[in-house]
Amino acid sequence: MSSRRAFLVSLAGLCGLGVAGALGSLRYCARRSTATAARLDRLDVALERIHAPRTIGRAYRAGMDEPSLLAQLAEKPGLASAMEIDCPATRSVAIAEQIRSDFRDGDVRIEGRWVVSRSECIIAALRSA
Amino acid sequence: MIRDGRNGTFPEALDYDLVIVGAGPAGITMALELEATGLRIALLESGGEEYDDATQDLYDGRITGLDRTDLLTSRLRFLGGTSNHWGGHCLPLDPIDFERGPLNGMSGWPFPRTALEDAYRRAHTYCDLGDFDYDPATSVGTGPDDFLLTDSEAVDTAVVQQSAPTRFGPKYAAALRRSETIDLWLWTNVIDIEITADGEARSVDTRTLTGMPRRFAARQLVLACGGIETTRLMMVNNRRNGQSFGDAGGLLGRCFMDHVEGGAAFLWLDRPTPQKAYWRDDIAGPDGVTRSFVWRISEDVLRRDGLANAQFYLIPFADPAARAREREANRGWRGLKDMAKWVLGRSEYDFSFSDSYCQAVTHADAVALDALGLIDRSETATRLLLRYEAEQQPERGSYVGLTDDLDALGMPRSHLHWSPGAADRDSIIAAARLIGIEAGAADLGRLELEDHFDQPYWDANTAWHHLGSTRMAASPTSGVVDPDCRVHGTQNLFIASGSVMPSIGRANPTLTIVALSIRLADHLKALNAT
Repeated sequence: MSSRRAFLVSLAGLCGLGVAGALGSLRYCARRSTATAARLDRLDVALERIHAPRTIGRAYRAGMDEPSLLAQLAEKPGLASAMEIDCPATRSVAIAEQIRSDFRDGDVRIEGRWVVSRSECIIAALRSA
Repeated sequence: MIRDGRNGTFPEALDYDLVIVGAGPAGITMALELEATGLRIALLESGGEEYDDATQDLYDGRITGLDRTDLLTSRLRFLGGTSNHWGGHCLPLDPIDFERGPLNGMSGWPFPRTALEDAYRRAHTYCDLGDFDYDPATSVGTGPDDFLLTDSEAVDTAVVQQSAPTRFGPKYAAALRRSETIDLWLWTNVIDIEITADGEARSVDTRTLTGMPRRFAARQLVLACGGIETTRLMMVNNRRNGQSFGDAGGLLGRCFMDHVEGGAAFLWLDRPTPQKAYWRDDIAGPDGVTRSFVWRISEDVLRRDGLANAQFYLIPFADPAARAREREANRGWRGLKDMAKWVLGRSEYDFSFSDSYCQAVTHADAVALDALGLIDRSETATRLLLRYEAEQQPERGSYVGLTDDLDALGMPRSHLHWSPGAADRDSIIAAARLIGIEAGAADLGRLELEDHFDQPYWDANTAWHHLGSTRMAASPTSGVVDPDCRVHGTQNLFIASGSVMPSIGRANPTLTIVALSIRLADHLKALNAT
């Protein structure tokens, strides 16, 4: 075997190991459900009413992973159902009602100096990822 | 009658039924309330009828702690006292201020607000106010649409009445001059109070800045020379004479309070909001007295959350983009007008054709939009600054003391250590948060807290309200004066001042000071009747 061929075989082997390693490491990465991820942007309308969504999102997200945020999202029935609504206007009403409900129930946070509802925090945190 | 204390032809020793020290709102009110009783009253004023530098200098002193306050210019030392630069905001303390004590467990008011209700109504007359009516709904020319958060559980709209403002000196000088029972002594500074060991106040020694001494003896003495000066006089007197009247609990001078004020938050409105009652200055009650409107936290929620009282003024900020377009249009119009005047030969100042032409051409688009009515010039707001005026809790660490420096009369100058605490700050933040919650629930907007709350004293300012340093309490170990404003341990020495307030609520204090003076006058009438 020529040294050229030996080099190419070694290179191919190394590439194969690299691909296998990369795929293996992906097993340990948190994965977002494709369906949920695709629908998260349906909640973006909530961010239009807060003036610093990134600041709020980052502040709320501190120390929290995405599964935890998604679990909190699931606990907000208005948000969960809004993601299933195709009509933007109807969806917007459902989200607004959930946010109002948070304020009425006192489920409110001060994040980045803003007084915001928990629902707004969750959405901002997920969308600032 | 008005007398000049510098005049040596008057006797050096005089007898009266009552001596009142200080001719500001409290002292003048008390003298006029008692005029009809026939009591012979000496009303002693340090200054004259006008401002005087040398007299004013007697007020200078040292500030420590939160030093955004002042001793020399916050007060005025001539006839009418500090009412000579008073802003005129009037409202009574809220019932809750009397019902509960301070949040830190110190004693509070020893009587309910109902005990002051009649005096408040009479105080309205002295302060040139109309009806004792603080219901926003009775305001003329307003409806529910003029207010915000009307259905809120936590946030109420409250009324502040606007006095002219009354300058007590000019306003009541004529009445004092023609009085046959009140002698107003000008240029007369109290330097000592004679109090016997068993607490009988017999006389005050005075001196003018020209060196004229005079002694005023009386059956009753009232100190009404302002919150800090009254305290200073008591402290100097106790120190000089080795006495401790009013100081059994070590509280003389302690628990100084001011209303802390500053920006709490911005409320970013969901939609541009047209003029509301809160930022209009043309609303009056049925009596014609101008009113302004503030937000306050409801009494139920103050109790529920253990918050200090506070009020919030709403200051509108317009949409910056709209205002910028408006300014551009104004510049364009000005350029056109200046050129037109130049053509007509009516230029009013150094006209520059190139400048005016440039302004007109540069802003031609804005002028065109404005001409078509497409620039919004209405007074709409896109955000509101919430400016708080908050109750400070009484703490011993906030105090009035004495310095080693002496004034022109040989009296130690005042030392004010004003020190609002973290609890005061936290209460303001909690109140702002409640407003943020109500605004969110009502789809009004979102609240952004100011960024200075983690700074020392959180960038707070003074309201120039000098209160609490001779606090009222039933027990001599909990306060300096008793519920009748008599100095504990004395028989006949009284204080008429905001310094007797054991807690200060959210209200600007002048109306309460005048009401307390009326209440004390009633008490003295009753004493003298018996």
